[in-house]
This record gives sequence, structure tokens and C-alpha cells, in this order.
Amino acid sequence: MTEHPTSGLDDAVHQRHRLGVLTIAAEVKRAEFGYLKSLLGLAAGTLSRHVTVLEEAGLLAVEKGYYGKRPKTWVSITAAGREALAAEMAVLRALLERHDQA
Amino acid sequence: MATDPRDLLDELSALRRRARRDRHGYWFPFLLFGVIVAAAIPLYLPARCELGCSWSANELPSVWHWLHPTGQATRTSGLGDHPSLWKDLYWMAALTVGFLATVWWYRWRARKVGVETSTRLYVQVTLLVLAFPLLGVPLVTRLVFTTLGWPVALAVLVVGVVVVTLLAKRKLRTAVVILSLVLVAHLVMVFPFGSLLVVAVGVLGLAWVERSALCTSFAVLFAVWALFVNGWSTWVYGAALWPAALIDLGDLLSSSLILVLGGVGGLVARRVQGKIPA
Repeated sequence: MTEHPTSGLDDAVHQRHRLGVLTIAAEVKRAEFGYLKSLLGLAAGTLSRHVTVLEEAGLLAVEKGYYGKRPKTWVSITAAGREALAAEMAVLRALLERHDQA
Repeated sequence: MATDPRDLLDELSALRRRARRDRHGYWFPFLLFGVIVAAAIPLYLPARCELGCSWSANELPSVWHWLHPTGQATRTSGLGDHPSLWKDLYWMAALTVGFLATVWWYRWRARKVGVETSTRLYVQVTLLVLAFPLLGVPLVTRLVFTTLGWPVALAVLVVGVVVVTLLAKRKLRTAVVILSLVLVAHLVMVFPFGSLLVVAVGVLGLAWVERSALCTSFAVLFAVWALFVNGWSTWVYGAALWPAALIDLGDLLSSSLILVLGGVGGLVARRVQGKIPA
């Protein structure tokens, strides 16, 4: 019996907002915290928690700096993050395919 | 955000499109290089000569000979084709400023918008294409082709490319890129409008990092046009009815126009897409 696609889901990645953060980060070299907050429509605290989870899982690198006197936080996707995102997208597509065939 | 897989995938695609759209900033370098090309036109105006416009390679400064070790391609018509160090100096300075301004622009824009485009590939390729004609081609030509002779030179070149290719992760792509860059670098100092090839490599590099259909279309159009203009001005237009200076003007003006149109197109596309929800 073949494994159900859901067994390939990664808990750290699968949460939809974290998936959103990884998708944006994969498209750019670096994304600023404020940009992610506004694009995903999240509160700063919520986004911060998601970013921390992804950083601890080694999927995202966080860089803090200043622009003038304003502190800025930049996030960039790691190689492991890219792989995890690609795997997650493959699982989602497999799920859809299975659903359509049913 | 959605929880259904289909809706989730759609939303992720929309997020990806939005991030890509927000990081697009190619309109500025296109406009800048369009202006740089147009500003070179006065250097190509025909010289006023009291005793005819004949010239000899011996009267050219040694720096010119260093930059053009194999000489400049001779056009079928010699009229108005006086080689000039000023042209070389202008292109070197303008292309360096254009390249630095482009990198600055992407960094400045990243801080303003909140998303940064990677310029590493653009920097690597442009630096190579800028530095190779100035140092690499003259040095290689003198040291290898003059001192050692072409049989040794060819062997050295082949071994060099094979070693670098074997060490690289993406072997075929590396070999193609190295050989193309060597060819472009050589042609830059041979063709009368060789500097347009540097601009072409730069905008193609931008198209690669930007991943925009519009940017890629204009970059490819400009690259094809730059090759055509160089081939045309070197081998064909001596037989044409138009004066060489007029064709030089047309060549530069049309090249500039393609870049300016690419820049304006990028700006308009940005405005239009900004009004459409992702």
C-alpha cells in the first residue's frame, strides 16, 4: 500500500502562514519583517513567533540591522528551507491529484 | 489564508507573484543605460578635417594599442572611422558608473520596498565583462598569442576551460558561459560598438535575476540589435548609400531607444500591475 501524501507534511513548514513566509523568502534574496507583516496581514507578535519557529528549524536565516536609526529585521531562506518548501509543494500537489482522482 | 490545498496553492502562487512584482526594479537601469548610449552619440560625429580624414595607427596613443591588441575591425568604408581613445575612456567610465549605479539602486530599493533582489550574478558577470576586455584580452593576447604562438595558446585555453568546467557544479552551463564571455570580451574591443555588447550582457544578467517576461523581451531584443549593429557597421555599410556618420547616429539612437522603451515599459507595467490585486 502506498503512503498517503499527508505523511510527507512537515509540521514546521505546513502551517499556512509559515508556508507564506517561506514562499515569499524563496522568491527574493531577503525580505524585511515589515514587508512580510503587511503582505501576510499578520500582527508583529504572531509573525515573530512563526519566524522564530522557522529559524530554529534551520529553514530561515534572520539578520538584524539598522536603516538610519530604525531597526530592521531581514529574513532569507536557507538551502534546507528551499528543499522543505519544494517538498511541501509536492505534497500539496499530490494531495490535490489524489483528491481529484477520488 | 486558506486551508484547502487548492486554495492554499493558489494563494501561495499569488504571494510569489506579488513578491516578484514588488522586487522588480529593472526600469531604472534600462533608462540609465539608454541615456548612457544616447550620450555617446557626439563622440561618433564625423571629425572636421582640413586636409582630409586619413589617419595612421602609428599616431594613436599607446593606451589605445594596449586596449586593442589586435586592432579595431576595419569597416568597409574608412570614412569617419577614426579610432579614438576618448570613445574608450567614455565607455569605460560610463559603463562603470552605470554598473555601480545599478547595484546601488537595487540596494536602495530593497531598503525602501522591503524585498531585495539578488545582484550577485549581475555583479559577477558585469565585472568580468568590464574587466576582461581591459586587462584579460590585452594580457592574454600579448603573453600567449604573441609570445607562445597559437598552437600553445589554443592548448592553454582548452585546458583552462576544461579544468574550470570540471571543478564547477553545473558543468555544461559553466563551459557555455565562460566561452561566451571570452568571445564577448574579445569582440568588445574589436567591434566599433563593442561597448553595446557589455550593456547587452548587463541587461541579460538583469533579465535572469528579475525573471520578468517584459524585461527578458527587451534584453533579448537589445542583445540581438547590439550584435546586428556591430556586424552591420563592421562588414556591410561601406556599400550602403548613407553616410557612415548618419548610420552611426541611427545605430546608437535605435539602441538607446530600445533600452528607454524597456525602462518606460517596466515603469508602466509596474503601475498597471500595482492596480490589479495579485
